[in-house]
Amino acid sequence: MLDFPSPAVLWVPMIQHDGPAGCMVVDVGREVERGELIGEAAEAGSLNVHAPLTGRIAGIGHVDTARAFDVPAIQLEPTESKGVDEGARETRVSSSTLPDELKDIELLADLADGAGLTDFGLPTVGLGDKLRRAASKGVRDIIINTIPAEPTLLVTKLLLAKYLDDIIKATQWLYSALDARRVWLAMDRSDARQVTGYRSATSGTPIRVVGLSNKYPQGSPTLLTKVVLGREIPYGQSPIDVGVLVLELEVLPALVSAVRRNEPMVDRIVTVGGPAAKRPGNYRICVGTRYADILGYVGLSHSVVRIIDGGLMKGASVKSLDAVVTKQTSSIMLLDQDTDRIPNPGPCIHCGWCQEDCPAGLDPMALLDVVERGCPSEAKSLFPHACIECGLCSYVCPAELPLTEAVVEIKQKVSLDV
Amino acid sequence: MSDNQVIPLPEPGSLRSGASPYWRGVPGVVPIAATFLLAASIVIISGLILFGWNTLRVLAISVAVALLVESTFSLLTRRTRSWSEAYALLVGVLFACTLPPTVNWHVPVVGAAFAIMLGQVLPGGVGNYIWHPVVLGRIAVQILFHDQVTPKWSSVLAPGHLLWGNLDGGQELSTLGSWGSYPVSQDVQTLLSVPPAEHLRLPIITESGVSNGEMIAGLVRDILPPWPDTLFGVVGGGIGEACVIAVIVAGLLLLWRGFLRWPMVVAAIVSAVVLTAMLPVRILLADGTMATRWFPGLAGWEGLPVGLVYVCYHLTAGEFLLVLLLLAPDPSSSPLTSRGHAWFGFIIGVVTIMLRVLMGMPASGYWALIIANTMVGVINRTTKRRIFGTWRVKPVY
Ligand code: SF4
Ligand code: SF4
Repeated sequence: MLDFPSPAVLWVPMIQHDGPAGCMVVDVGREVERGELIGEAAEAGSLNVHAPLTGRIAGIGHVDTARAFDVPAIQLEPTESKGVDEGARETRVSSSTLPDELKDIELLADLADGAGLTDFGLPTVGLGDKLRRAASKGVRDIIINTIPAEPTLLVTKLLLAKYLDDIIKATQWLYSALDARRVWLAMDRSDARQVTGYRSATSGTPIRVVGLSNKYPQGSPTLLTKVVLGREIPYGQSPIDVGVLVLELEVLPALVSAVRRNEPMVDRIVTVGGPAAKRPGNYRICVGTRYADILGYVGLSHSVVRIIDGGLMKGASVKSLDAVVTKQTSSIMLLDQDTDRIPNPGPCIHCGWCQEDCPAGLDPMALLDVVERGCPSEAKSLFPHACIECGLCSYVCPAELPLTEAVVEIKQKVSLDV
Repeated sequence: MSDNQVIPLPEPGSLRSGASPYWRGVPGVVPIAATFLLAASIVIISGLILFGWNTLRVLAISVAVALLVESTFSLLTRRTRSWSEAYALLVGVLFACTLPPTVNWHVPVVGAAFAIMLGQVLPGGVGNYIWHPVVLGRIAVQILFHDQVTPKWSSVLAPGHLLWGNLDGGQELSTLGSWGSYPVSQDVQTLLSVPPAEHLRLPIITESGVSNGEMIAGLVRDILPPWPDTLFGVVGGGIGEACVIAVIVAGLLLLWRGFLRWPMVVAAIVSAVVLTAMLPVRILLADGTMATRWFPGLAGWEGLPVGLVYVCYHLTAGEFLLVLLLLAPDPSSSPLTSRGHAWFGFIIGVVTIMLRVLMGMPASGYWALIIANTMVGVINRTTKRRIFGTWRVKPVY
């Protein structure tokens, strides 16, 4: 992991997940410590926001993020000059002093909420809410997903190599707190050494390692539930409804930090890559860092025409260099003129690849047709909510039609009741 | 680029927006046409070797007419698409593959014009047609110029004259045995043969009281050329129909690129094998009466599985594999899902063999594809994929 220096200024947005904004609890001019609460979860579904670095609140305003615009934000001028990497947390307690069992799911959820943890998924919700929902639905199977959500994300490999203890500890807590039957660790079987390493390291624990192909979109919770447990999620429901809690691997080390030291989620390991990045790699980047600072530090090898927050398949375009990184930012891709193809849509040639390759068995061509004719009510019989928004239909379409966009649009317009 | 050169940050407002995915697997439809063209050119090369410059003559006429008609229409209608020419070129090349090398110039002219006009321009281009343009053109010339496109004798260059020989006149091969046994030193550049597809569609001439096995053995031994000859294509036939090896290589290319889907190939071949083994062959007795013999595929003779050999001949004869591997996978006129492709291949296999064996029709593969194309709408409606989570939900433990 590469070190990222602390930027001159941070704009910490109050919305960093798919939910309502947190409420600011600090005034301009105040000195805050790293990890101090600056935005409080006021309503259901919102999340706590903490100061990523020690510094002074310099102002209050609005910023853009990749997935939201004009979000209320706090301007923070850091006074610590240390890098944002592990160096800042040298005083770690060894994880072996932690309890093996944490029987109370409420406690775990409260700790997660206090630390402002997200579930690291897309769409992103608070981890505490997710755990409570799982408990109330009586979830007995937990799947920890270590397969990258997108082909370009490299973080899970790093976490698997570095945080074995944390991963085992956190799964044990989840296991006992949810009174689970089993914890499945879904791993990319192409790295056979890591898989066998984890098999032996987790023997004697409730963890079962399953080696899976890493073919995209294997990392999607819906497909994992099907592949690992053979349970098909009924239309319009989520894995929790069939008794499965799917968690991203990144949740576990974050949960351990939160429980161990009340260390809130203020940064994230971000894969910076793409053909225009001069020094690509995994950086630990604070939330609220402006893209201008990131580009300035990572350097450019070609001129950038598109900045993607997230991966190539499911990411979002960043429209301004003044936009900032949030808890949702899993990776940053910098594309140059040659790699960023602007689609040139033509008429559909009825090749059927969109239907053939859709992991949910949908007919994206028909859904696009419904959007173009402007009658989304017809879409109900096409079951648009089965879409996992993987982007494969647009990826394969030789006519370069905006199929994924159309399906996502319909999902927003058509209500779920069948 | 030197390492310390500093690239400036993008100007404000210059960053692109737009929805994901930002990564596309297939950059437009032109690469599809290019892959099919590459596959077709493998077949054309085999035709060039077997039939010499006559292949180029037919190919040039066919391609020129196809491009001319397409560009005339796009000029007239002012409807220009970057890829319409690429597809017209493909139609021209594939159409040439379906013709024998000896046809008069007016056959490719009429056929290619027909293919482009009826097949591609009138329906409104790629994606809107129901029937494969090439097959429409081929059926048109089959009806208009029957004797030209299915001649009694097929010409093929003699050993020693491949590629450079002149396809003209020639000596009837049946009196001399197989192509390979023809003496190289002879001055004859062209041999005339009857392609196995012709023999297989006609009733077998035999005598009463002959057993199934003996009859088929007689057919294979005395009338049909050696089976390997049908693989190399030295039995004559259409430019692209003759050399089965080239067609298979082209098909493997399409299979590898994902344009040809294996369920279609498997379904077509399995159904063709089963039907040829089962369907009755018609026989013509010496006294002029017709009869039928069931289950020719099970025939054995003196311990030889001649029935299986007979089935093999049917698979490699004539246009079946060309239609299956090069024409049927066309994205626009084939079904949407893989299950649909299996049914599509099944129809092609069944109809080709039924028309050939029961009705004695020449060019039955093209008719089969037309019929299968017509069925695509029905196939698509009945082979929709099951949407994830909409039925058969496993119980929650
Ligand atoms: S994005 Fe397209 S391919 Fe993926 S699930 Fe949705 S409709 Fe299917
Ligand atoms: S992939 Fe594109 S061109 Fe092919 S059927 Fe779907 S929408 Fe049409």
